[in-house]
Amino acid sequence: MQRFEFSFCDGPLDARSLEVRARRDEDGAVVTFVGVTRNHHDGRSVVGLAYEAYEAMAVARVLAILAEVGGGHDVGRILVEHRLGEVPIGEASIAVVVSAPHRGPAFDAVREVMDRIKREAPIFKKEFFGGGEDAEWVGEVPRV
Amino acid sequence: MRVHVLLFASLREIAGDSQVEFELGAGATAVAVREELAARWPATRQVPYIVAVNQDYATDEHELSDGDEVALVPAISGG
Repeated sequence: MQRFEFSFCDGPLDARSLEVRARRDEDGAVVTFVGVTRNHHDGRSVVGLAYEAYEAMAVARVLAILAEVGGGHDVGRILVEHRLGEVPIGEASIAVVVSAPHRGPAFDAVREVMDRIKREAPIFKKEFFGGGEDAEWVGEVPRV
Repeated sequence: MRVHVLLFASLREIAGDSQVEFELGAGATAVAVREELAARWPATRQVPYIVAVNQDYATDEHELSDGDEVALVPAISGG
């Protein structure tokens, strides 16, 4: 298998299967971050979310991020999966799994990967609010 | 020259389409795509976005070539 993997899915995410695939016999740590959808944003009630992506660029961009982060830390595999389409409240929208011989680099790499995906990957999120408010696309425009 | 324009999120909703073809003059930059988009769909003026040319984020000064894929990327929020 590849050391760095990223893919989209359109149904429930299975972080556990990523963990099993990420672990190597030389690893003493497998660190997982799971991003889940929450029911509020800036004090407003959120009743649902939906994601879309510029898939070809997002895949290329995230794989480049994984290679850069992986090159900067003593880690083994970095596996990431992101869900698209509607994601009900409380379900996972992203899972980032990093294996490493020791836990420190694994924790660092997970955080760096997440921060960079949020800033750089062309993935779009729409939030649907309670009380009949108009839905909104949220986030920030990436910088060159 | 002709460029292939991809629209996402709010821009896609305003245009009612996820891709369009723009015919631009020789030597056009990404600014020309912004102007054409605004002319066709004035409501897109309200939406901040950055361009990505052939899957790389680019500045408005980026000079386009025939056949380029120009994606208009509004606010992102993956994760």
